[in-house]
Amino acid sequence: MVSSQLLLELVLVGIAFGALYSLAALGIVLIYRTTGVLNFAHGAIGMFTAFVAYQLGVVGGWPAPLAVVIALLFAAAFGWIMERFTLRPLRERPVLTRVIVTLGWLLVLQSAAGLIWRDTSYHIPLQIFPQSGVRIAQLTLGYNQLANIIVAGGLAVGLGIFLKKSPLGVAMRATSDSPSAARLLGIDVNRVSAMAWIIGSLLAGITGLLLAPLTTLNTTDLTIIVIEALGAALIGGLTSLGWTFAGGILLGVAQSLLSLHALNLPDGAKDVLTLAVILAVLLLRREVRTLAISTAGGEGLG
Amino acid sequence: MSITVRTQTPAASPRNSSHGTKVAQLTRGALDNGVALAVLVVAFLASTMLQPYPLLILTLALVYAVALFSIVVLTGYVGQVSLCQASFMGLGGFLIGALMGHYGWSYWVAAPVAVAVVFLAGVLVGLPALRLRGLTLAIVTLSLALLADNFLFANVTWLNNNSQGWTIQRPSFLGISLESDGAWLYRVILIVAVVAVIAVLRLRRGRTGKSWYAMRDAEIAAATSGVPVVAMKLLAFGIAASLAALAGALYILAEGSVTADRFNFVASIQLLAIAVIAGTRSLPGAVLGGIFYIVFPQILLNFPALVPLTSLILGAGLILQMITAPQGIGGLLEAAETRLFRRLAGGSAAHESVNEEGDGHATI
Repeated sequence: MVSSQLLLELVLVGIAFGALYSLAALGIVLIYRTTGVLNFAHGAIGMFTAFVAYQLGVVGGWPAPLAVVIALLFAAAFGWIMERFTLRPLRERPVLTRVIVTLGWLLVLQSAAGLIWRDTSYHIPLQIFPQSGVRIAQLTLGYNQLANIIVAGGLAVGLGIFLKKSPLGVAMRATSDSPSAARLLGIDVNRVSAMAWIIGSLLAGITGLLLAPLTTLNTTDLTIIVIEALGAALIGGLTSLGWTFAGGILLGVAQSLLSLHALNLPDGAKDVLTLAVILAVLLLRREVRTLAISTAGGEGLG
Repeated sequence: MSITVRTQTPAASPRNSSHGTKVAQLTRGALDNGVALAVLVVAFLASTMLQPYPLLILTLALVYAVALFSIVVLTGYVGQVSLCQASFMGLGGFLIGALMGHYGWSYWVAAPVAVAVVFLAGVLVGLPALRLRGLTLAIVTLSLALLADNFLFANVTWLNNNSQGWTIQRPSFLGISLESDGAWLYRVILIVAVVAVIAVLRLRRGRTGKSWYAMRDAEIAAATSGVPVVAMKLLAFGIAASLAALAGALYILAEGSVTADRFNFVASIQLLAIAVIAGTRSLPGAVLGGIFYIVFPQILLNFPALVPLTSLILGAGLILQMITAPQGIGGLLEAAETRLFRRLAGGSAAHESVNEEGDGHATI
């Protein structure tokens, strides 16, 4: 018999994890909607950002807030560099070409991190929020878990308002609907794409910084978070911010509940679950399917 | 038998070409065949001249050329992208290890069985591809690669021999022990690789290949023209997966062992990167790519800290390739060959060159 307290704790842990999947997924959706590119390097950007913060804050002993700010500046700059120098020149080319460029960046970031910090798991990630926690009705919730939920939720709401109300956000939505029409309306498509990549990479960086203390800081574990993020983004049909956020939470809770079956469940069980969710969404969700078909003409390899 | 690979699609070949073009094509075909034959002769002679260690390196390069050829089939011919080819390769190797280790099967029985099983696995992976293309397929295959990394190769003890991987006794071939005779080990792998490649190339030149090209270039048009799209797509996935598994089978034969770390998701992305850099429609590209993938890390062997450098070069190369020359190194070679023949055959071959270059640019 499973105690309701254990169940509740697992759900809370799942939400704290899932909120970060959601955050990463929001960045993917923002970039996809504005520029049509699925960023496979999203997790890798988060990983590298977490390592930059580790280098400054843990190895260098800098104050944590300063390390965090500089790491996030790196993430933003990296997003801009990716867009400006490797994706903008390919705007007229098939979508798949540009997606393959992001796979190239995944390899570059992962191997560069391996060259600089070695492929080991002995790195102590920078703790941004204390691990100690508050007790809420018999449950202990770590401040860092609480912070994840608050930061991710706040950023999601902020992003939604930004896209609806701000001129740049409206321009982003216009560009995602029709780049050529947006250009006719006088929208600077280059600037809008660059901003989407900068904000998207920032979200990836924040995810990496918050996730590193909860998992292992190495060159692989954060890089492959991109699969969970893509799964959440697919649940949102790669368009809906609300459903994307819910999708991330759902994945996090489902993965967390898996440990009900056996406490020492292998990592692989999580991947089985994620793959099952991705396949189910792809085959059942009509928007995603039509999306695959409608872009098929332009994205073919031939 | 010819083992030329052209960027040109059958449908795009000029039908009303002038006499000069035909001559150019004939000579060009002859040149391609001649080069292929010369490369084969040199490859064979290498086994009599090289020291054991360089020969083993060359053997492994051949193995990876077969793995890369699986991407040439799937991406170059059919226009589908897979991010789990290294997983198929590993699955092939691990299955052989398990069949030999658990049941005492001979390698020569275990290898074809493993390749057949992975063929079915490839068809299964191809099933979602019937409805999905490109982006979504990349997501599915990447999550499959992670599933293989973290579950199949990490947790299934029957398959991974309690996480130790497998070490096998290399079998004999016609009475020659491949365990002790490195030159024959190389020759056997060379023969198997050449036979597999020729078999696929023959398939490509026939109805199957024409269907693949038609599907790649315009799927709906192909379907309305009576191409059995479903069967042809699944066949392509099966063949690509089984070619990767064959590479895995040759890998365990060459190395005498398999471990999971060689076949993780990064390896899959690396394989795609090499294939794209070399040109996804080009067989010579696959061979050159295989040589780079094996030889370059050997240079780094004495500097363990620099091991990720291979991946860095591949990632950066992939990005640069996409920006500068989408048809890959193989495509560049062919473009150079086309220019050569344009000069030899005068203006009459210009039509053909335009066709080929135009098509080459469409690659990826």
